[in-house]
Amino acid sequence: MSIIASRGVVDRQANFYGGVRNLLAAAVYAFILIPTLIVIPISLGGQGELSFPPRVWTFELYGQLFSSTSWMTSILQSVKVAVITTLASMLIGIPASYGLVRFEFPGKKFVMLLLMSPILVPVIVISLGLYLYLSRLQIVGTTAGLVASHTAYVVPFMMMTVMAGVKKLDPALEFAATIMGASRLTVFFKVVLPQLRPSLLAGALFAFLVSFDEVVIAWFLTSPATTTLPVKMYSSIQWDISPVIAAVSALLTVLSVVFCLISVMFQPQAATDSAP
Amino acid sequence: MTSSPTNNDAMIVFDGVSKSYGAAVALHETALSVRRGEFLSLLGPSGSGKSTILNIIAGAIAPSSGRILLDGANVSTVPPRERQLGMVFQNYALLPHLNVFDNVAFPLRIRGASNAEIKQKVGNALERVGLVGYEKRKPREMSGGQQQRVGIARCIVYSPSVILMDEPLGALDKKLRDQLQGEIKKLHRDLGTTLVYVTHDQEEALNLSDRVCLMNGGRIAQVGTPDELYFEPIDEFVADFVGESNLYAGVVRDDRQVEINGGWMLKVRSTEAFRIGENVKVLVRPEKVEIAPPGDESAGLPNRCVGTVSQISFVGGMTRFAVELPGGGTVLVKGISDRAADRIEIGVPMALRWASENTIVIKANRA
Amino acid sequence: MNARNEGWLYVGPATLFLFLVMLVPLAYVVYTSVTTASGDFSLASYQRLLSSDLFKRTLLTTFQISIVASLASLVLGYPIALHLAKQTPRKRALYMVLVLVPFWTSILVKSYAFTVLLGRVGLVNQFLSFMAGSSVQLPMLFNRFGVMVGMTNYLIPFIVFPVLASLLAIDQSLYRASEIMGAKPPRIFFRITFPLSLPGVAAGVLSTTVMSMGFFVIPALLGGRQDVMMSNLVDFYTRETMDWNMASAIGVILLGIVTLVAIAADQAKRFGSRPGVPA
Repeated sequence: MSIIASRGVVDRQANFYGGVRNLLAAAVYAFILIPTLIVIPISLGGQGELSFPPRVWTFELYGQLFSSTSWMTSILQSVKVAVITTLASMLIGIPASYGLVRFEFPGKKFVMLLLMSPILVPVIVISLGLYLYLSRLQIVGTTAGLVASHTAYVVPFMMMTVMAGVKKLDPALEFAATIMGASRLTVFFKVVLPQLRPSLLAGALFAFLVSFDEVVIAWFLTSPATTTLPVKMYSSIQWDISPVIAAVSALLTVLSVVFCLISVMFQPQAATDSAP
Repeated sequence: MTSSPTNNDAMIVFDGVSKSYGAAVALHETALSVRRGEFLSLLGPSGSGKSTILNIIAGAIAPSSGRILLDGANVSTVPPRERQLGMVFQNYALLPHLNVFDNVAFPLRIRGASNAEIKQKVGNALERVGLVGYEKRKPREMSGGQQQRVGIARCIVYSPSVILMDEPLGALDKKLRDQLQGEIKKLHRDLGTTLVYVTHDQEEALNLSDRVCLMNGGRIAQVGTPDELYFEPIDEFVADFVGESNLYAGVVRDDRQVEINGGWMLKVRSTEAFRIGENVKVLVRPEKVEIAPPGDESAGLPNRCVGTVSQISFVGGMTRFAVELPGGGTVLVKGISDRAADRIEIGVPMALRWASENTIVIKANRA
Repeated sequence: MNARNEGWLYVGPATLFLFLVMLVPLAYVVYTSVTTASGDFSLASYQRLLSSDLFKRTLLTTFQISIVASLASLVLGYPIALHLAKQTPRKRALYMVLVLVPFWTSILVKSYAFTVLLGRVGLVNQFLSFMAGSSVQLPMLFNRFGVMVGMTNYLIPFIVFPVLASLLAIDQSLYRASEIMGAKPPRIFFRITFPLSLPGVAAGVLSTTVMSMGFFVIPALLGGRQDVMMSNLVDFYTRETMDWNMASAIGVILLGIVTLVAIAADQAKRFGSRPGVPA
């Protein structure tokens, strides 16, 4: 912790405690990373016992995965749902993010609470409610029902990223455009959105991933015909541990890492504030 | 003190405009009139209300009372985008993802101008600010001074009827400020547009403006030409804010004399605005005080005293002296630096003298 | 368009959408919890729950697991926050990726990894056997231990962010001053760093506790019969017995508890933001 770093001054105590801290930190970094990363070598270990290091190195499991109709269908379904969800949530979420940061209006607290509610309410309660409600409307088990539910669920996650970006904008630019005669639409599309590109990308990636990985709502709202990848994984892990799950997990991890790195690259300063 | 809001060559009129935030008053009821084609500076310390006035003109703030007229029309409820104003900001407010050409063309595109018209007008604007050839540059590739010139070009390209500038040179260093001040002054002369300019720098205000409106605590302290503010300040605040001053409390004794604390009778220019026996302040500008070794008696300068030099500040072209008087009190003296000043040292008694013409009686503000 | 209401132009669509897709379903849950199959109003389900041993045990389990997991994640996450706080901004961004990757990873992937790691012949036991020289088969899965490990692992990134924010807000000149006065690192930590990080710690612990109360996947995949949490109970009543009435009642109670804890946390934060207390 020594700040006094002039030549020749060695603060042994600070170095010692700093070393202890670094060691502890390294251990915890390993703890949180190992489960995420270990699925990759496991997936390359083939059909046999899952051991580490793997006795053989093979892409056998991936072959099984790609030739399995049920797994591939569920992957496609998840992609379909996630893409539509991302687009829909951005359509309503981006203006809402801007509105919440820029304006004061009556009822703002209620709106903020409502838009953040999917994060605040336990997901099982949301899932139950959607199940009961969509049953009434007879659209349980449809892709449309799932997309609508996911869109609402994903909105606060995406909004947190975009709102962080809006907060960093200089309102003077928007006022300058207004004073020059620009309409609200022009200001939003020509001044605000172009500046938000990094946040929009990160928000979209985040929204996609949250929907793609979402299991509880999907567990309640899908039928065998509309099963998503997480639902198939969940039942697999619970009842018929198929080694193919390792390959699926590895692919999901790679996807997460790629998305995470892209978002960090485009928002380098956001990594030092909180949240994604 | 305040202009009457009934001129019909008035471009901007404030009629009883005030602004409060709850219990805090940012601007007391104000009447102000800006003439067509005039360069008016809003000057004052932070919190004086100058930015509030500008933002009310711009429509960014809604007044708590009163009405605003632009070119005769009541615009109190008109949103900013319809007021046909131009504005230049302290931190430039350029769109970072557009190049210079597109930034300057922005307001023209809003108005649906043709490509040919845009090309011509942007070209003219850039020529006026001396940035021809910079069309493809992005703001982040330019210096602060260049960015502000783009801001100015963008403001004039659509020929607004009123230009507002909000401390536009505040983010620039001194040399650049001086240079751009000259350019803004010339621009105003060439265009003849009504210009309202906010600054806290009194030299800037005096240099650029046709009239200066000095604000204090949400009220107008004085509106007048730079000359009027400097040589005929209305009260102590104005005298002290604009330029340097020596201010002494005293009592009016007759139509030519004021008695300062300690019994000293100063010969003043005139006391006709004041009653005998009234408490006033006497102003003497430091550059009007002559300083010389004692014993050098020249006639004709009735106000004189002897004191000891306590501080010398040499700032280049001018040298400033603080002279302590034996009965207490200090006189600030400012003069052109020359080698003769070397003869003046700290601790040496000196004779000070100045003319009654330069001894002005002004209103004493509340403490 | 009144300037006061301009914000509604932007938030309108999202508000309407979430009203229909979130608020209405939640209201429906409440409605279902107090309506019998024949459509009458009745609090029977709540009465049954409050007298049910299973429910009371589950409630206790939920609190136990949430609070312990939250505290465990604090203990483990704090060194990471300390480490990140001491880096230059550039390095911090790099190390932060190590925390962000798990944050972005699917909970199913992590749970699956733990079933592989913690099983009787899983990788951890294999490793321990190798070290001990003989077969070691510690039971680490489908029990409280498994749930705790899984939850703590999941929660650590969530606690690092608020604690890091608090640490970064500490005025650096405090450290310089205390060093000049001769303070050693342990004293600096306990007298300056830790106390000034408490707002972030409190916020983090409360939010992770609230978050973990609603957990479903981790107890389902990594826990045993003694580790059933409220969410799993809702799932049981929905899937196994199709008793919407009971499921909804549990859901309402869970929502109520989470709301109360969140409100209490908000009040505590407000109380902690008195002038003089670093925000």
